[in-house]
Amino acid sequence: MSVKTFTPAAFHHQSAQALSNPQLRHNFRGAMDGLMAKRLGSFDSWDIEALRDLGQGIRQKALRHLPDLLEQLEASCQRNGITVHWAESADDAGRVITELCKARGAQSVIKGKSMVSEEVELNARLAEAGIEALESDLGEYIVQMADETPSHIIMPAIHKNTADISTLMHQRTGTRETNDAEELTHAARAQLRDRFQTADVGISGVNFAVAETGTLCLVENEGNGRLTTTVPPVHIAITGIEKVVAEFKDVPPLYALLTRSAIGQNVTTYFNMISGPWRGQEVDGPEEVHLVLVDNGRSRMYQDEEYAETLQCIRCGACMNHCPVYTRVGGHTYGTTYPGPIGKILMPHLLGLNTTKNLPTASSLCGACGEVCPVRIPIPKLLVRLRNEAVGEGKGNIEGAGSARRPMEAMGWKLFSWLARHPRCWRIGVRVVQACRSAVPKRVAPWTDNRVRPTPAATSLKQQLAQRRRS
Amino acid sequence: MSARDRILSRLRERAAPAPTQFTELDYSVMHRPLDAAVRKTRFIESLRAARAEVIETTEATWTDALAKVLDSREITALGLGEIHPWAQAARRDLQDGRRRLVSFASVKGREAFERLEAGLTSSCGAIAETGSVCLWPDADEPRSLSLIPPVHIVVVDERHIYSSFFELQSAQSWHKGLPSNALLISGPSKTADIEQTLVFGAHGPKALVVLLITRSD
Amino acid sequence: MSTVKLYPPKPEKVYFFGTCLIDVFYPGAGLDAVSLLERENIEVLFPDGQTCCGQPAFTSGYRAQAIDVARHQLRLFDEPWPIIVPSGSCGGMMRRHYPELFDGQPEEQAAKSVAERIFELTEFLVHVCHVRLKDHGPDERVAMHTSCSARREMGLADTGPALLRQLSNVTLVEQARASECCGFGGTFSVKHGKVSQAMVEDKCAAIEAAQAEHLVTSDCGCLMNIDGHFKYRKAKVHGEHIASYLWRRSS
Repeated sequence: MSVKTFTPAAFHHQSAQALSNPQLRHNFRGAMDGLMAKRLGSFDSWDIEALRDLGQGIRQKALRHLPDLLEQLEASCQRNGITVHWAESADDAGRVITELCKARGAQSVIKGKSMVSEEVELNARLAEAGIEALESDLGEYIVQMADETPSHIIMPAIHKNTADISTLMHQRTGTRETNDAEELTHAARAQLRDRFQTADVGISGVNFAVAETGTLCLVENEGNGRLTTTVPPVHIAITGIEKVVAEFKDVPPLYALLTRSAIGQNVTTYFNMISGPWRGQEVDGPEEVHLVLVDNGRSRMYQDEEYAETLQCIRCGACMNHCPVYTRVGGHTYGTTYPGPIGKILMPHLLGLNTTKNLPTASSLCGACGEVCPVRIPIPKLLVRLRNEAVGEGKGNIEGAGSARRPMEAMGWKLFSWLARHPRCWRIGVRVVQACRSAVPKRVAPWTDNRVRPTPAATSLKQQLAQRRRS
Repeated sequence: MSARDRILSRLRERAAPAPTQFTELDYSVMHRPLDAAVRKTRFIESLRAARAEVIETTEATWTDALAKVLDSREITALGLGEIHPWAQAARRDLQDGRRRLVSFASVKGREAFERLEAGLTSSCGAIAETGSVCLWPDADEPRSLSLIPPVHIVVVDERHIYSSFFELQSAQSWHKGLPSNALLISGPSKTADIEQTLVFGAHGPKALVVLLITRSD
Repeated sequence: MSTVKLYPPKPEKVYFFGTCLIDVFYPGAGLDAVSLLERENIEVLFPDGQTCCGQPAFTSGYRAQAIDVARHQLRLFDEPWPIIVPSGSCGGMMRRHYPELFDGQPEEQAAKSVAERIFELTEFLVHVCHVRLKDHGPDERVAMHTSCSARREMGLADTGPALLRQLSNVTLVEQARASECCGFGGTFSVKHGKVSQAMVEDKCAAIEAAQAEHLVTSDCGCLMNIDGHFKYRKAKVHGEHIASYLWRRSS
C-alpha cells in the first residue's frame, strides 16, 4: 500500500495494520525512547517550567496581537526587500508559488524542509505546472524517493531503517548497497550537490517570523536549508500565519525550547536568520525573497479563543515522541500531514470533523503530550472539546460537528446521566448488574480480545459498608 | 477584497484586547550570565562536543595556526575576504605559494562548488553555552564562504564570547535591524535522518575549525 | 502553571467518595481504604447519594450530561470535611474539571469548594495522615502503576511508591517506561481497542521484565485493564488496588 492512500477516516484499519508490523513498531519505539531520554537531559541546567511559561507567554502574546503583527511583519519584510504574499487556502498557496516560479521561467525547485508545503501539497501542485520540486532535507529526500509522506514532522523518514533506505537508494539512484548510514548520507550529499546549483528557485519553511525586524528564522542541522535559501536566485519561504513572533528577543527562548523539545539538542548546527535578498555590494544570496503566509483554516480556528491555543504550536514534535499511541502506530496511520497529538487537534480544523472524527478519540487522555509541550498547549483539554463537538454536543462552529454522533450512544449517556442523578434508580441498576453477573458474556470484544471480562462483585461497596456498620 | 484583507478581517472578528500594548513577560529565565573564564571553557567544550575543532591561539600567532590547519588538511585553495583585518593578516602571512588564496567574491557558480577546499571567515560574536559562532556575511565575506567549501575556518576573538544567544542579541541590539543574512553556526553540518544515526558532513561543511584568539589581559 | 497544594492538619472526619468502579467491581478495595482511614482515628462518612463523578460522560464528549452528574455529586458534601477518593482519575475529574465545568455557573463556588477538598487516597495518607505502616507480609517484589490522572492531573507520582516503600519486606521494582499509560483510557479501550490492547501488553511485559510478583495501582480502571490482561494470559503476576495491598500487609 502506498502511504499516500492513508486517510484519517481509515484510522482504525491503518492502526491495526501498523500494530501488526513488528519492524515499524520497533523503529518507532526505539526512536521515541531515545528522543524522550535526550529531551529530558537537554533541559538539565534550566528551570524548565519557567522557560515553558515564557514560551507560552511569547506565543500567546503573538496570537493576541496576530492581525497587527502580521501587518507589521509585512511592512518590516517589505522594508527589507522581501515580498509578502497571502494565501487563504492550499489552492491559493499553490497558485501563488507556481506563478512566482513561472514568472522566473523556473523548471526546477530545490526545497528545504517545510511541513506547510506538505500541508498544501506543494510538490504535486508544482508538478502539475511542469515544475520539478526536489526535497533536499535527507529525511524528506528519502521519503520523496519512496513516493511517501513524512511520518514525523521533525524526522520524516523515522519509519524506515537503514536497510530500507539502502535498498531504496540503490533502486532509485544506483547507490551502492550498504548498512552504513554515513556512506548513505554522503552519497545523498553528492547526489544533491549539483541540484542546489542548478535549481531556479529555493523553497523553504520558516520556524519563526519576527514582526519587529522582518526576519525569517530557519532551524536546521544539515546545511541544506542554508543552501536552499542562498544558492538559487529566488527564495520562496512558505509558512502558516501563526508563525509570527512580536520581537526579536522572543526568538532565543523559543529556539532554546524548540531544539531541546524536538531532538534533545541544546542547539542545532545552523540558525539561519534571513532579512532580505542580497543588499548593496553583496555578491551572493538570492536576488528575490518571497514570504507566502498561509491561512488554510487557521483564521477560523483563531476566532475560537480555546481552539486558538493550538496555534501556539512551534512544531517541535515532542507531543508525538511522548505519545503512547503515536509510538505504537507511527505517523502515517493518522493519514494527515501533522500526525500525533497536535495533529489530532489541528487537523479537524483544517479538514473538518467528517473525515477526522476518529482522531480525537484515538487518545487515552494520558496527558503526556500536555506535560511536555514547550508552549503549554492544553492538548488533552482540546481533545475532550473536539469529542464534544464531534458528538454534536458542542458550542463551536467547526465543520463536521456532530458527525460522530450515534443515537444509541447519545441515548446511553443520557440514561447514564439520569441514573447518576437519581441514586435510588442507580442503586437498582447496580443490583441488576450484580444479579446478572454470571450472565455477562465471556467475550465482550474488543475488551476480551486480550483481557478477562470484568465481573461485578456480588455485593456493592455501599452494601458492604452498611453491613459492616450494622455489625 | 484581497486574500490578505479577508484573512486579516477574519482574525479581527475576534475581539482583541488593547492593541499595540504587549503584556510584559518575565524573561529572567534567559539571564544566565557566565564568568569570562567559564565562557571560554564552555564555548570550547560545547563546540568540541559538536565535533568542531577548536584551536586556542593568539593575535600574534594565529596565522601560524591557520597555516598548520591548512597543511594538516592538505588544503591548497582557500577562499577568504580581502578587506577584513583577519583576511588581510592571513593574506600577508600566507604568501609562501603553497596554496591559492581566493577572494570568494571573484568565484562564481561551479568553481565555488568544486574548487575551494576551505573558506575562512571572521565572526561577529560567539555564544558560550551552546558553542555557537555568529556570522554576519557581507560583500567581502559572503554567505557561501561559510557554506559551500567542505571546511569552514572561523576566527573568534575570546573577548566577543557572550554567555547566551539572548545576551548576544541584546548586547548587539539586533532588534534595531539585521543584515540580509545572520547565522549561528554550532559545528559541522550533520544529520540523524537515517535511523537516528548521527552522521557529520551532511550538505553544509564537513568540518568546522575555530581559531580562538585568546587574550592574556 | 502547577500550584503547590497546601495540606491541612489531620481532620476528625472525612467524606469518602467510593467511585462507581469500586462500588460495582472492587468493593473490597473501598472497604480497605475505609479501614486504612479509620485506623488513623478518622471517622469516615459515606454519603448515600453518591453515584459516579461523571468523568466517563465528560471524556466521551457528553459534557452537558457530565455537568448534570457532577452537579448531583456537589450536593453530597455539605460539611467542610476533606473528600477522599481512592482513584486518581475520579479525583482528577473532581479537583481539576469540576471548577472548569461550573465556571461562571451558580454552582461555581460549590464546585471550587469540593475541588479544594478532594484528596486522592494515597495523597491523603502520605501528606495529611503522615501514616507509618508496619509490614506483616512476606518478602515480595512489587510493581506500582500510578495512573496517568494521578500522575499528571493531580501531580501524585510519588505518594503510592512512598507508601509501598514503608513496607519493609516489599521491594518496589523499577519498570521500564513506568510513566507510560497502561492503555485503559475509559472508552478509548473500546473505541480504539487494538491500540489499547497493544499498550496493555507492553505495560504487562514491562512489569514482568522487572520480575515483579505483584502489581498494585491506585486506580481501578488501570487495574481492570492490567490485571485483566495478566489473568487472560494466566500470568503469575496478580494485580490489586493499593488500598487492599496496604491494608492486607499492615493489619
